[in-house]
Amino acid sequence: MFFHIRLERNLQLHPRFFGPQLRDKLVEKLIHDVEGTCSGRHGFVVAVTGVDTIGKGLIRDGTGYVTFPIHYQCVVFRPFKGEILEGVVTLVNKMGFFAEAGPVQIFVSNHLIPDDMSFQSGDVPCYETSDSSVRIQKDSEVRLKIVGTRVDATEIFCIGTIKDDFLGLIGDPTAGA
Amino acid sequence: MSILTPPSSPALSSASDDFALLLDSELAAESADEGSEPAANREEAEDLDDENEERRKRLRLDSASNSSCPPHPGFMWGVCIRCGVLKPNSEPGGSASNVALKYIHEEFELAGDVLARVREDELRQVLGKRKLFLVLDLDHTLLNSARWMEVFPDETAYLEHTYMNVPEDKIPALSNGAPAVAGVIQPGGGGLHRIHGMQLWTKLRPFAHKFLEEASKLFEMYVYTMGERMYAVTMAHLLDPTGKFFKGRVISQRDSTCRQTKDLDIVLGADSAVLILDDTEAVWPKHRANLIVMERYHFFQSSCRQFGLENPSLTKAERDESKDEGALANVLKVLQRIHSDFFMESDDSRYTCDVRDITSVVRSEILSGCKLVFSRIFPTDCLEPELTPLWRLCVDLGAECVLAHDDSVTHVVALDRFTDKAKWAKEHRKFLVHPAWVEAAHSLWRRPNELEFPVREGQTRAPVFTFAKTVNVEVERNREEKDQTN
Repeated sequence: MFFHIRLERNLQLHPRFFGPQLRDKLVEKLIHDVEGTCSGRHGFVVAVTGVDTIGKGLIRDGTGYVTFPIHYQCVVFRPFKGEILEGVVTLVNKMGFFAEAGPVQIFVSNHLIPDDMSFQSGDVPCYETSDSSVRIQKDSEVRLKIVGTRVDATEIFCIGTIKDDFLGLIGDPTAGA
Repeated sequence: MSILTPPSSPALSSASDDFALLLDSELAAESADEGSEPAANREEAEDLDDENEERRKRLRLDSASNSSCPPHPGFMWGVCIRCGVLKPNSEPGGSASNVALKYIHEEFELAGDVLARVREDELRQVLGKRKLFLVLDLDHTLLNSARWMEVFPDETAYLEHTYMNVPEDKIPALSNGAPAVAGVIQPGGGGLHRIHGMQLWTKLRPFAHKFLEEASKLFEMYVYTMGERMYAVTMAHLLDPTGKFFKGRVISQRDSTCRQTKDLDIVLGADSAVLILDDTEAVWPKHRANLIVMERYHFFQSSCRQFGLENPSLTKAERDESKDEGALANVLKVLQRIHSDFFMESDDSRYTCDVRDITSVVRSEILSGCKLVFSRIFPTDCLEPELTPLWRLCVDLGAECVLAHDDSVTHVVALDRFTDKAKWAKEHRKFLVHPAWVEAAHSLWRRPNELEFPVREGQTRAPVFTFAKTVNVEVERNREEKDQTN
């Protein structure tokens, strides 16, 4: 789920950037440092939307670097247990499949794939119903529910399921519903 | 929605990450805020409460269906793959029963009983396709590698001249897909490759590609090496550029459950259907019966040095193993024989055969009909020569071994020509052979020509140490060119 939140960060800036473009340089550095990263607490930072305030810079003893506290607003993405997401399948093997929903990778094990779908190995490994009406393979889009997450300092891992109603392959008129 | 931008972000810093409960609590808080409303709205609020209660009940039911989970079937990234809880640090069932299948995914583990079921399923599927399992070692079995700094300048010059100077059209193209750490890979003729990212020369054993192609029709193949993961993946790419033979079944040292030995516990199949090709016996302590020992492929001088051998390597002798009559071609025939015997004996879908029994039967045909007596091989104070490795090897190969010579003896195995038994052999026109003849039989899987293993005076060392047929590289290449143009 996406959130729009206000965060704070301390940026260190080298003296070579002190000048009329100081504020722009700070914003540039902020965007470079923060966009695309993940913190366990807030999730993946998708984009910085605005800078609220830039506090007074503090010169660090011993070096010429200056630390600026920046308050900024950004869009973050954090998956939750119980949330329903759409993802794209990236890898299928006999233990289950991996799907990606934006920056987060979700593993759906074969325990949480409906019993009528079985693994077919071959040139294109996939999970298929016995009448081949529904086939989940690499690059298929699936709707899944997050069953569990593990949140580290810098990474989020998710386990998902497609065993419930309305989950599974999307984009095929005969599937899912 | 106002719940999404509270200054203290309770939603995001809460320890529980259950989204539905979060929404519920926020909605309940909101409806409590609007408590001073007229009766009609109060009814609506009550309906809302009922709905919330139902939703909570449904949640509890959902989690009840996952309560079959305290025996967690497995973990990915430390999260149970069925119920989503984090792996507890101290499990009552003992986390020792979880087997890490790192070659499938680095963070993947399966519980012991689930793994057993998966192995049974795989076995049934593979046998249904009329295939068995084959586990292949890399170093000295399918290829030989040497670091650049171990290859001296004269050997490097020889390699560049004989193998890397081959015209472009004779070199098979190497598709993309090698791991990035391997860097640039320069292929040469004869299966020699120069790998820049790892500073390695690698020479594939002649017939390797053809062997894999033919074996893949009969076996589901695994690579199992004691090397590092990146090395294993790079070598697998050289042997199998399109990935169709191994399909990611590459096991390296860190995937193995034990650091110093190899085990079939992470191979998804059953011990009765797996054959192993390796040059070292000691590294498979629990599965000697499944093992087919291959003769070591010593291409680079460093390989001979590593094993303390004084004999020249193939580069020194300017030779290479023969393609069609070398070690891999021989072992392929053996594998084909074992495969056909297995499926012939179990025609129905029951597959009660054991590949280990079939292998020992095939092995015992090699020297069947031979009766051997030994001279000057065992020390005189040796109490039980039947327990020595050489005797046991002869028995495995199907020969009958006796201590005293009589008329039915066919071979005398000796190290000295002038012993009583040796002289007796000469008189009665029996074969007099060096013990290397027995080892050759073991490597070649056929009865070798006795005349190639004479007992020479003053020479107790084996006349040859490799038994596979080798050919001169230039001659062989010219012959191949001529064959192609004809």
